[in-house]
Amino acid sequence: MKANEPVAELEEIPEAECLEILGQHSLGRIAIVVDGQPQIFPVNYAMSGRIIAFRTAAGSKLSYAPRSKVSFEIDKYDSGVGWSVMVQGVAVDATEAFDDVSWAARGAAPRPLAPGAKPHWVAIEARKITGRRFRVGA
Amino acid sequence: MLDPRPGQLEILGEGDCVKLLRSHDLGRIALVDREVRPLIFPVNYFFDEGVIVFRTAPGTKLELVPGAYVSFEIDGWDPDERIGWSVLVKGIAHDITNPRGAPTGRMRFWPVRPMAPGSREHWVGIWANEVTGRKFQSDAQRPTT
Repeated sequence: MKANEPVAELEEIPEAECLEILGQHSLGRIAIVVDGQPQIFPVNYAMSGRIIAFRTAAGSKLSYAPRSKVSFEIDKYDSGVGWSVMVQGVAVDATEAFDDVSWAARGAAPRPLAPGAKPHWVAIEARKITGRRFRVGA
Repeated sequence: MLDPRPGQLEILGEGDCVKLLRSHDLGRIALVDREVRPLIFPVNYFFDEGVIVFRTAPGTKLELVPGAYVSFEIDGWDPDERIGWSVLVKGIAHDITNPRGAPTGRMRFWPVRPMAPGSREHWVGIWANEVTGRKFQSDAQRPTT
């Protein structure tokens, strides 16, 4: 992770590097809109190209995410550096579909840490990826 | 707060959620923009009296905040104990930069300490309507690396 490299006080992380960082982590948070109010859920995810894949049980995430605009976020603050990456995209139910996104998502092998059956796959196709990094206490 | 049994998901009571909110200072706010897209931003916060307070600069967060229904989340994962938890707050956000009464005036003295550089002269409060949390000990296999 390039988090240990010297950074400017506050800098944008280029998209290619955001994708690299996304690939090096496995815990993020998805935000979806449920009845006009945003909700946030932590998920274990895996990447396949520009696709974020996670598994879930039947529930809010599965009912409201597919075909909706969602956001996904990861962040970290340590060793004097803080960074965050935000992805905006559209989610699809990738459990059984045969489109490219669903295939890619099912091949990405996310590993849920929370207990319980999570037989459904959700894929987020990233449309906009932004990141920022800063020195903590600079 | 009891440790959950491996493989069990424990619903946290409001008291436990409040303790977790008080003992952390980094969370994420989710807002809905004008095109009904949810956005997530990490923020440093202070929690007391059922209100989450953070500071921000003029921009997307501040434009969308007044009277908005928002969510706020904190989470943690202990890789040694393999215990994960999260707290989700649903509430209404207000710009409290210019306080209108004693409670919001008091909040302006809360120790909200943004880690990111830059001036953050605007104050936002999220009045919690609903606080929920969950905790689990993972029964997933450790990665074989």
